Amino acid sequence: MSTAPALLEVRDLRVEFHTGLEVVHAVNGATFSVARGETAAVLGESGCGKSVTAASIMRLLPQPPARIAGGSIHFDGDDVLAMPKRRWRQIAGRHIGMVFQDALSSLNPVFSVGWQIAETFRVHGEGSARERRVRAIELLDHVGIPAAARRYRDYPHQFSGGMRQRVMIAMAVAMQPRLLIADEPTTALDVTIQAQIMELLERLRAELGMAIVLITHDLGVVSEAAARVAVMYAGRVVESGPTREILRRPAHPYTQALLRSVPTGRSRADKLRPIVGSPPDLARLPAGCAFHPRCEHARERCMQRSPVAQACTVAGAARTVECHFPLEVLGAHGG
Amino acid sequence: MSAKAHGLGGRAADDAQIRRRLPWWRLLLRDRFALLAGLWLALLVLCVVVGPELLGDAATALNLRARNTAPGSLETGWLSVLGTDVLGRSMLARLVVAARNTLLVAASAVLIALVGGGVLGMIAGYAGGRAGSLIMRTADVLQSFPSLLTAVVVLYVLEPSVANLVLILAVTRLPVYVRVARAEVLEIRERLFVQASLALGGGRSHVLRRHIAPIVVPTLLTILTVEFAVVMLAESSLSFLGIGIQPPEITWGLMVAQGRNHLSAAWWLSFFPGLAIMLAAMSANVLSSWLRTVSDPSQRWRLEAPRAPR
Amino acid sequence: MRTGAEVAGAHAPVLRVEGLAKHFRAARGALVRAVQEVSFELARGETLGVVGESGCGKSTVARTLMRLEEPTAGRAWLDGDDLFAMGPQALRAARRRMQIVFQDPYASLNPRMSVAEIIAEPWDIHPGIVPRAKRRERVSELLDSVGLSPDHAERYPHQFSGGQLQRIGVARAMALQPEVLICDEPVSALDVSVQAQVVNLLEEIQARHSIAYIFIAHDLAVVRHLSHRIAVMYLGRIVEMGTQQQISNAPRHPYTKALLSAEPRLDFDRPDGAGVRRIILRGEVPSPADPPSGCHFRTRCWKATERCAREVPALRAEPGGHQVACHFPEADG
Repeated sequence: MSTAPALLEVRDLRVEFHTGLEVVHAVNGATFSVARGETAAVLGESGCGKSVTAASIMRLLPQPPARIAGGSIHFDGDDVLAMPKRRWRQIAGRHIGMVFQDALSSLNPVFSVGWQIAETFRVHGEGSARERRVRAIELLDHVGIPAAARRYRDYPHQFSGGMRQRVMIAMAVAMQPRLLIADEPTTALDVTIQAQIMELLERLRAELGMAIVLITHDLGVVSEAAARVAVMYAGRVVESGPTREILRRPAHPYTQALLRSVPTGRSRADKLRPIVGSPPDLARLPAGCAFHPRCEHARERCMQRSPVAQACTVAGAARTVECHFPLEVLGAHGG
Repeated sequence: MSAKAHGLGGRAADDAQIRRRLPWWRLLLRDRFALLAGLWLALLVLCVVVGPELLGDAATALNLRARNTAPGSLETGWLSVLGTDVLGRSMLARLVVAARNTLLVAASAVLIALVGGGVLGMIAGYAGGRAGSLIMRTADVLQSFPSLLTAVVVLYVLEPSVANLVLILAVTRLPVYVRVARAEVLEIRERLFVQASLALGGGRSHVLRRHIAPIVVPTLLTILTVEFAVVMLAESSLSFLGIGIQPPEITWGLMVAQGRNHLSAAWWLSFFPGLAIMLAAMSANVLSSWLRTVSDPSQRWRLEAPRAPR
Repeated sequence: MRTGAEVAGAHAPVLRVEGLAKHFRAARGALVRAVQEVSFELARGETLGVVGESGCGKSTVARTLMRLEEPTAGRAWLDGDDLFAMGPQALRAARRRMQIVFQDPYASLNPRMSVAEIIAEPWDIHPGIVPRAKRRERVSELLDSVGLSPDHAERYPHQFSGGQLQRIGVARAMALQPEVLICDEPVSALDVSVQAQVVNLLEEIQARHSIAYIFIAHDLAVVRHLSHRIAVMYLGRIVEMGTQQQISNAPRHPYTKALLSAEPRLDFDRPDGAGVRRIILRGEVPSPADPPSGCHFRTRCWKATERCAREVPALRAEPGGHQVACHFPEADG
């Protein structure tokens, strides 16, 4: 267990959306932490609240209709939600980089990519125009864009998907941030390009010593890239801990069911076991545990009381689970 | 094969999402503006149907002693509540009677323009090719002439009859529908559900009928409501120039035109007909907006949602 | 489990494609060779998986076979009938035997039509299959067969989730009881746990009706799970084709190898440090408008020689039915 304070700590975060017709509880008590220099994944399917959590960290949510209803976020010891927005923007701009899923809509289409990167430097008051340009070209080269000097002048639409993603990564790491938040960075990319981008992120992490929060629904990516994982369902973190341990021996029924529903490509004989039913309506969450309507271990208690996070140790590694009967779940998982 | 065998339960959750489908008149009652608009238009329709029969005499009866009475006084009878014109005729009666000509001319013109323009636009968009180019170039030519000037010329050469008036108004407004219809068709044609229909074996007419028209028509109807006011005003300009509706026939536009010279002395002569035009156009607008929401299944929830508690 | 060969048996293939090519004229006159010389056979009740990355032409193959696009060259036979030579009448009839499920479940259903209208549309287009009186009943049967409740028939697409919409799409395709179903990335837009539902559904329908599938996807794991045989495409050509086992366990084309190794694995039982050596391909997929000369893959291949730049490798069959298009195919194992 690391004794150094975590770089990013999210505690019991609650975010609501007030649409005028109903209240959508997008995040219902998410807790996880990211240590310096490590890659942590937030794993979940659509609607689980992972992107809203990321947006809350960066304070990008428009406050109506969104509302941060509770919890805290600490970055390097500073209380993110309490400080004035302006100050947080300065800190975040300097120390946190963000990479999104669709580079084409995140990059400004009317400015050249080189200009956009140089602009990042300018906003933070770095160097003269020429120095900024040189640094931008170096950065483009560093993330693997061939003929960087020539491509400085190109526009986002002139790049392929993988190249655009590299440009976005270059912008995000320009100020050498301590934390990089990557929201589904490879989802829209081809498999071979995905491998390249994941390799790039890992290289940059090692070079810059930065932590990465990887938000994704892809179990394979999590398994390969993340040291720790927080599994989210219906706005809560249902299980978190070291990736390898969790994926080998899941202690939460959702994690377990998710693993069982994914094809491993081994053979036709193994029928996939989908998760019964569909994710809950976040405006009308069931009483008790949010997963109980779909859980094969569900009991009376699950329908009445929402489980609290408990720490437990599995095979020598500590993890947190939000379930009334984690040990039973562990026993049921057949390798 | 039961749903359970697939491991596909969770229907209870689905049901919770589905709200009861309300009948249209309940939805109308909920939207107060649309309701008012609907009632106003219903009233106008009533005027169109029975107005001239009921109040025709009052509209033409000369009463030179009571000419140019201001609105608001009831001394000469309830019919003069909106005042009288230069010949002592009741404004209220004239408005009611004029509704028929105004609305019929405007409605006919916009409907002809919509049907003609819509069909031509859909052909241009779906078939493309030479027919499409021909249609678009014709629309270009029509649109490049100032419509009022065209109307003046045509009506001067031909007789300024009601039929000609309607026709020329329709023709000058046609290009708008052609363009919009074509643009919509071009976009919808590429949508996946159209491709799916083609893959099922659907032919051109099937696709146009089942998939394209139901999306294009509501858009054209929205334009129609805006065009309604435009046409009423265009007719008013033509009547003012003397080549539109000929007296003793009467329309609101003609009343506006006739009252133009008396604005300082008898402002109500132009004001009330102008107000009538505005209210008619606005009601048509509001109601068509409501209709669009009601007819689109994915937007209907906006009207069906229970009102937020106070 | 029966292999593709056993399934095919002595029957003639239900679909045979020879030399299919589709070229597009892009802006400024560039010729995009989206599909070139694609040939394959599909046996009754078999699943042929087609896998490849963007620009490989797999979706174009699907659209061309359905004649949503007209082929530039090549021929195809559906049960012996020449698909590309058919006139409009014959084509309409042929559409009853070959159908398609699209990738985007939200966009492939008309949002203004109720589920019942959507599923019944094929019967409007092909009158005589199901009389009007029986339609309601058939719609309920079809909904039930894809795992949806019959009272969903009067609802509209926006009231359903992606997985449910895709099932409605499958129901619609099945309304005509086709012999061949082309699945163009049917699960790519769905959540992981929902993908399993649709995959299971497709498997079950195949078992019940003996339908042949062309299953197109970029996710190798799903393709390997469902397919009897697999074709790997790169920049418009099939570079390798074989049974699921042949492709998974003994890939011969360098691209297939790279594809297999690029797939992130859920392998946590191997000790840290050990494991499959990752092949990370350099560079991007070249543009189909300007493919490299000779073997299109040579710009990213670690084995490329001068011969690869000169000569386009032909798809050669080996004993066992495994086909590779490479001058220097990988050795087994």
